[in-house]
Amino acid sequence: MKLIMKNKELIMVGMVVGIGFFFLGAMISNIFPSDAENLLSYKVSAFIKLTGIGILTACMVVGGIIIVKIDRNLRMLLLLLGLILLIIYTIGSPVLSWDISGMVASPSEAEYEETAYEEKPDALGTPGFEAIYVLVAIASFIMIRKFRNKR
Amino acid sequence: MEWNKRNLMILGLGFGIILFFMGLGAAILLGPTTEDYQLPRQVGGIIKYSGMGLICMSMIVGGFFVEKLDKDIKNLLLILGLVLLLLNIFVLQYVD
Repeated sequence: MKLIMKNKELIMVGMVVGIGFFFLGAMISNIFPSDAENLLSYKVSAFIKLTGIGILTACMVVGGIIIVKIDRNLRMLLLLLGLILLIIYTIGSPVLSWDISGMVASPSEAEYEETAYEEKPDALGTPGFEAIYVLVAIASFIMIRKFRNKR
Repeated sequence: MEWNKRNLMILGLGFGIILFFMGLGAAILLGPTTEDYQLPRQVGGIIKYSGMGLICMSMIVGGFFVEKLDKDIKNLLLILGLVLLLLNIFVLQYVD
């Protein structure tokens, strides 16, 4: 079977893969819980989650520009939400850095592991992290529509 | 695929966003940054800021110079591209 994918289908598959990666990452951290001595599952799941959000955001932004066979307002909403998601993660990126250089000068192995575990960034999958910004995006979208209708 | 300005801008935007998020992930994957072990910050920073550079370039140049785009999309790209650039210049360099 010859599979020809057009822009719309590619963007759709990209969004499915991105959301799938995000939940796959969430599953990994639940199936293999991490503790102070074993942080591998946390690291792998965080990487998969962030890659998934990256693919999703890229598909939203690119889809908002190149898809032609959907409603124009829907396309603008896709682009606007994608860009706002990107800005949220740009502002939130310092929260996601994992820096424990402020700890004692020569820590023991246990102290190091404990500090690393306590200081790990948890904000990347917290429910509600994006809610405020999504509301702002929807409000801006409504304002843009009103502005356009007036014009 | 034809290599025109529009397609280059879209490719740059897509790759840039994925690179940015992979940079954030790579910094976590390589482990916590300490005073003696700065590799996660360095690798994460290179990938993250390369991605952010690509995004800003594509958005601002695309908003100004790409012709085959809807007028609203061009305005949105230009304004949010500049917002993103200013955020990186004035906010993030003091926090990160």
